[in-house]
Amino acid sequence: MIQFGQPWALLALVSIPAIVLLYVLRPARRRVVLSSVSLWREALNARQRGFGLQRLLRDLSLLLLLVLAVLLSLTLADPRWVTQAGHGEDLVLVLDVSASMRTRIGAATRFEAARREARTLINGMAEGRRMLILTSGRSAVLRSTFESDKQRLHDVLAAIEPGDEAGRPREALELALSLLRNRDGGRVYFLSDGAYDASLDFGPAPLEHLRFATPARNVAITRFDLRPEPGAPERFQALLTVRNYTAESLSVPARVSLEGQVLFERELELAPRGRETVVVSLSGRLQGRARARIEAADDLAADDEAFAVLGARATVRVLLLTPGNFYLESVLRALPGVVVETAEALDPERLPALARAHDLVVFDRVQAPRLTRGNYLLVDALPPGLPFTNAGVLVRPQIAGRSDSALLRHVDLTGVSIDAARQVAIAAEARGVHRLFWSHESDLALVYLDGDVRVVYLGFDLLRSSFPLQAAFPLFLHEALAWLSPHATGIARTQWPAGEPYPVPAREEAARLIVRTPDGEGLIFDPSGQPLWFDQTSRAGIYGYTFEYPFGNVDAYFAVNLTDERESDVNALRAAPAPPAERALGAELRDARIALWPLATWVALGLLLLEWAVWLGRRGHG
Amino acid sequence: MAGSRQLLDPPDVAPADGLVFDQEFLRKLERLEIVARKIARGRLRGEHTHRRRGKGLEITDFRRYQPGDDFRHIDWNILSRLDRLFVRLYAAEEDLTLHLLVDCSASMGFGRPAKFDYARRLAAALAHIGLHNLERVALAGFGDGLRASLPPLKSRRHMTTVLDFLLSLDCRDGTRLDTSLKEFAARASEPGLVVLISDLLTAGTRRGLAALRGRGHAVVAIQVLSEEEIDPPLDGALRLVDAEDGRELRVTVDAPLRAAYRAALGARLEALETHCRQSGIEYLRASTAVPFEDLVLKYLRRGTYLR
Repeated sequence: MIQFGQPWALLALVSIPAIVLLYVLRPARRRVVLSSVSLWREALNARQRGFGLQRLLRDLSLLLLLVLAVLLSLTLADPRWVTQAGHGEDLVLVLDVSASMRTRIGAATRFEAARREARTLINGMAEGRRMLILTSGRSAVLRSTFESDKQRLHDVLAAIEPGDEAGRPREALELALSLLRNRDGGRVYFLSDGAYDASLDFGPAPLEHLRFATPARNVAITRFDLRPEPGAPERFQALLTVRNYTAESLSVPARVSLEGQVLFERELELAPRGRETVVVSLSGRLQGRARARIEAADDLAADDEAFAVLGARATVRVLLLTPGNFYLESVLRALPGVVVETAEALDPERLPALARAHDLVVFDRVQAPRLTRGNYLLVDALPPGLPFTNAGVLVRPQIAGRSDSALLRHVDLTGVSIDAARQVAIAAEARGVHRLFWSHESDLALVYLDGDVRVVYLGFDLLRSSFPLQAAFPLFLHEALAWLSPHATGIARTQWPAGEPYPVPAREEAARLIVRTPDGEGLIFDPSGQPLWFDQTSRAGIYGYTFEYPFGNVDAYFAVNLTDERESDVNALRAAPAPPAERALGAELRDARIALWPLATWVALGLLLLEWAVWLGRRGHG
Repeated sequence: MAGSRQLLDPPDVAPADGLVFDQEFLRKLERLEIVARKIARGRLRGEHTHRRRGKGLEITDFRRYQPGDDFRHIDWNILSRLDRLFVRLYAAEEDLTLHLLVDCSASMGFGRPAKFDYARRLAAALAHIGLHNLERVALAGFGDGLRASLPPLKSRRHMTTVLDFLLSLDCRDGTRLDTSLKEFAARASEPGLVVLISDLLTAGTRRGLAALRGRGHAVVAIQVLSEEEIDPPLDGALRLVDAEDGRELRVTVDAPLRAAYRAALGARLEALETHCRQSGIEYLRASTAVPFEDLVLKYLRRGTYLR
């Protein structure tokens, strides 16, 4: 059946009588007197006795004009072939694999119920229809291409398991809809429980939500960390937050252990939909993998555990080039996981190798060569090649302003005095230079980022300043180290959300890198080159990675947790938008509209070419 | 003929320069003579030996004696040797009557130059040859019937009469070749050489030719066609009008139709030529694009009647 998108355009068909009229009224035939027309009559008869095409070609111009007029009218009317076949319709199955999908529904889980429905959708696919499967956790993952082979789709489906991730379905649904763009009749099925943190309203998009959620009980650990107390490396604090998502008061036992040794146990009294936070001070040199666990008789076990890593961080290697700076060296050595090597001078030719071997190179009042790839802290040192240059000396500059950069977080510069400082001139076209703090005359501290070179610049001698005596100094160095070497410090990021790729730093000297998942699986990577973004973090637990050096192995750990309050709120389900009016698989066969105007246009062009060829042929034979 | 040139200028269809034979051409014509393979019976003994058996001196054949035969023609040599009666057959030596029939239908007015003008010049040339050789030359014009005729003349001085007669003809109306030729055959009781000059495009040609042959005439059919008829330069939407009957044919002429026309013409000419060959009629096709002198001095001489 053919439908027309613009049926009014069929009015153009009135041109057909006009064409016929014009053809009839075309200029009169020229009169030619011949000795006899009998031979012409014979010729006509002979041609008419020939194949029918010749007869047709007698009035070919009129026929072609009529056909072209019809085709033009049809093209303007936007004809569409309406068929009840499934051909051309693509389906996208978006399967929610967030942690809440592991909530139990009787003996099964929400995910298993969704998978059953997915199997039904696959089995109900009409012949010729294709389906693509993608999963939605913290990010979207394509699990298959558009596939019409049902068995292959079943195999893909069977291999999918939910993780410990918080759900962010918007990304997956946007991807799914974009895959269907320009595909007529496609449809997206989102199989989810509705426990996610984004409102999903895509308007009239061909998106149907299929919900698999029943009321459930849940008590969750929503926060867990172990960290040393500032300024007291022998003392630690454990932070644990547990939330009750049920409507009744509960008493939940909680236990925190480190490498199997219980650090503390508490019975937490939780009000209906209330939360309880516990902070426990611990003493001693604690190091290792910590685990928090609550014993709650609930429907979601994924958030009953949380993990943390204490002191098991990657080593941060710092090369300090200085004629001697007690303050600087002391603070650097005090930072956790930092190993400091000192030297008074540097062979400029060795800088590239040393910069690769260390996470940070500090030039303190020494002559610095042109910088190569690496991270640098410049203290009263200004190497060539930077977009800011030495423009003189300032005497007793006063700090007149500061930026809100993250490097100055918690850094109080009040009362900092400086005897002398370099005056710097920043090139007009300089890019990647950001001011940290400054005097009226010149910038006193800058950061510079250009590709593989990161620089923090202090334009004054620390020993001729009160800055090292201020509490702001170690904080500034801590933040600077975190900014300069974000992949290596691990200072603040041993906790990592499930499903988020984790940056493992590059180590060119290492022979290989082995990343271990909580299941004990070891994955081998090349540690040289760019940092590795390890993306198989969907499971909560302690992950470890090992750099294998010629001199031995260096181990590091990071903890992956769910700890997402909204994901754990398995009853706070987002309302599903109303499904589109049509349901493709319910009706098994659904109307599909195939645009015919391109075909009509091509046929018209073909006819024009045919007329041209016939015209040329007639002239050629003349 | 006046002076060194004869100017024959028909009033209706002849081209502006008229029918002109110059002295050189006339001298060439006078070196030609008409030769008939068939024996035609005439009233005067002429220069031509006709193969019609009669009372001439040349023995052409023998046959068995039959009651009533002249005893004087019995061959005694055969009787003495074979003891059988055979009579001698002699070739009759008679003068030739050359009949020139010119098609005067409207279709002959077609072409550049007009076929009619071409036909009249051809008739004039043949008449000149015949009269120069002391043959008897008769002329007739026909269309939808026998229109005008000139009785047999036998003198070179009658050439002016011949030309006047040809100039008096005009081409008009239709063609009824069978009727015209039958009428001519009925009138011309003396067999002779009939030269039919026509475009032969109408029906009834075969019947007309058969009527001539039935009267014992030796027949030469000269089909005159214009180049526009052989390869018509027509194209596009046309209303074709028959010059003879005025009937119209609405047609869009294109290359395929032109090809079909040429095929139809070729088939018709081929059939006519085959019929003539099978009927003992000499057939010659002439295009008006061929120079007239070439037609007479070259192509006609390739036939058997002119040498």
